Amino acid sequence: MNIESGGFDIMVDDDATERLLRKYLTNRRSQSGELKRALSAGDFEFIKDLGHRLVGSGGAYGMPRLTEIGARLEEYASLRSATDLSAPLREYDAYVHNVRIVRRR
Amino acid sequence: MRISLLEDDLDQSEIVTLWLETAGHAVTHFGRTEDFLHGTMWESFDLHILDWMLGQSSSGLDMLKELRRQREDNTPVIFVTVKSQEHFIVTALDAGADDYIVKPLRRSELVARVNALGRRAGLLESTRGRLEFPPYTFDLERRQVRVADVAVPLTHREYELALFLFRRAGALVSRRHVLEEIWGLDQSKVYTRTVDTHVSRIRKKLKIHRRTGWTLTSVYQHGYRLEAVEERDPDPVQDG
Repeated sequence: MNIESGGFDIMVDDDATERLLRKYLTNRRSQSGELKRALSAGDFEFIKDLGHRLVGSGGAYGMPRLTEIGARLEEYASLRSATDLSAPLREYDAYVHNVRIVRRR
Repeated sequence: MRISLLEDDLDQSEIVTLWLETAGHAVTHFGRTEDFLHGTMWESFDLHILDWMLGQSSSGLDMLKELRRQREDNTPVIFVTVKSQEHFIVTALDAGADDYIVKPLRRSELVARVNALGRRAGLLESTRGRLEFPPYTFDLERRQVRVADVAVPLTHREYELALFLFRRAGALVSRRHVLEEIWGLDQSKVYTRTVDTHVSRIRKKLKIHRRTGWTLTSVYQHGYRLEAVEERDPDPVQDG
């Protein structure tokens, strides 16, 4: 069972891992809208919590980019800095909508 | 090994469970500290993996302190957290953690550390060498037990059960844990009475009693505890 990430392609070679990664990615995509709404509403706690979770889970799912973005979301949300949050939110959105799970043949 | 995982993030618990189960371990996931406290009260585990920050009123560190100080439970613990600063690591290790891994977790590293702790605790299967629990000696290659150098004939299941209990000497092990490890995960057709019968047989065949320096007791509604005692007969094999 291996996960290998290169750019926007995450290579997997077994069914169980592929299933989990697809579920994880689907959830991250749906959270993109929640993050934007939270920023508009000034709900920094939500963004901070989600950032913290991304720090822990992104790398484990072969998406270290999400770990980096999560760290910035957590930091800027702690500072309640809406201005600083806009860049990592854009990067999050772009990443989760472009990354692909690819089954190694 | 039978592993408990305390992690409130379902994404993380799912991937960690997959990694560990693929590596041959059985994982029970707890999402809340209350469930962890209850589950570990009634079930036995070979290793705990605790997340520090749980977004709840109590933390993984609180659970570690509960295990070590209140319950005097020495089951190996691996702490996992995003906290990478030295003082956090020192705090967890001082509170009784056996290892500390900074998130994000990596599969190979986690499995290697779990296995290393298992080996250190003498819990991982080895098919070579001998294990000494005087006056008992387990010859792992011949799958034979000797009591004061006299071989005792045991069935395959009895040998596995005896080895399982001696490797966890001192710990309270649940019947479910025994069933999973010795009879396999599909235990629906095995009755707890079967376990009791096998425990009774190995107690008799191996002459496990105070005079041989060991006791094997049944703990009501829980399981069994094999433990060493101070008094021992100088020639246990000759004795009844």
